[in-house]
Amino acid sequence: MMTPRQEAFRTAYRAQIASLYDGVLHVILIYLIGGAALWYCIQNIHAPNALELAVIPVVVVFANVFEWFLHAQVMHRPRKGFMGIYKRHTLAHHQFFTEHEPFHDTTKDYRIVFFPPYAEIAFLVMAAGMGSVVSLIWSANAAMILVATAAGMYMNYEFFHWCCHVRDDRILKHIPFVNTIRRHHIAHHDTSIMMNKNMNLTYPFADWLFGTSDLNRGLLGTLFNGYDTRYVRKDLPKVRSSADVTSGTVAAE
Amino acid sequence: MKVYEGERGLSGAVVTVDGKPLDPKFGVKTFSKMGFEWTYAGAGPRQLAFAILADHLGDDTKALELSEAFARNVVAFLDNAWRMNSAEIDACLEKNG
Repeated sequence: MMTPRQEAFRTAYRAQIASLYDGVLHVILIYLIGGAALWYCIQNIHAPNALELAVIPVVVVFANVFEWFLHAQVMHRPRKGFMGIYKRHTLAHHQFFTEHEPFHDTTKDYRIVFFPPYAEIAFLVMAAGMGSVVSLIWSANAAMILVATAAGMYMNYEFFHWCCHVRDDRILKHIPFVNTIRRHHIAHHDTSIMMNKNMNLTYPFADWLFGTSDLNRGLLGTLFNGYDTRYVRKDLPKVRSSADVTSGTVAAE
Repeated sequence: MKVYEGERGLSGAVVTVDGKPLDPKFGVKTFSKMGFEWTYAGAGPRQLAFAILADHLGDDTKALELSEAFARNVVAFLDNAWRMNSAEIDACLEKNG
């Protein structure tokens, strides 16, 4: 059950969403852009060898670490030149969704769930830049595989993030990886740990690698944890002096 | 008794003292040009710790001296929206040094 403050934020945020905004169209656009990039790259991959195909897991790992880094150091920290990202995320997304109420209500709320389409374009431009370098020093196949994998990872991210914020989990709770990231990300929305823990949005690999997971488990346990809460660390911080409660305030210790 | 309040929202990470904006004291020491933040250890929380103590103690030098520990022990645990009064700050300073 959300606090009055969260409810007030949702009301204020929704009031400023443009009346023409359509959440379904937003999602269609994201997947049209990503799908077009994926289709173009696949069309231009010809008889890749094993080494070129090995680019896929390398890009998957790189994208996972990049997602972790961007979330931890840009989306959750006020940094010069990147304040727009921090404001949209820490000051908006994390006020709209908290551990008390982490789910969206309507497709209009997709405004605060999905990245704007230009973010995907920027990401694909970066991937294409890297692909250009790879094409020069290695092969066109490797370059196309790099960009295709990056496009796939972006669309994977958007889908998994939506899975974390959708209310109905009757099917999602049974899907491996999805159930893991859903618990992982909802825990991340606990204000006590949101600035430091559970920074992955797809597979909690980098969180495990860099010790920022709220779980005390090995790699396989972390990736396939599902909804299990038995391994949540006992030493996680708790906030104090909160003014975001249903009644009164919690005094500082 | 002063009341310090902080809140994250569409206007930013805003901190007030008795309803008025808290002076970040950039002229004395700048840990973070981007302003205040909290619930972690870093430049923004350090700036907040310094600003709160400078206002509470009325002594910039003392505030600077105590700001690191205050940031680590108090600011790092503040919620999305938080409220502290002068007595609570004194209690924290006495407990944490």
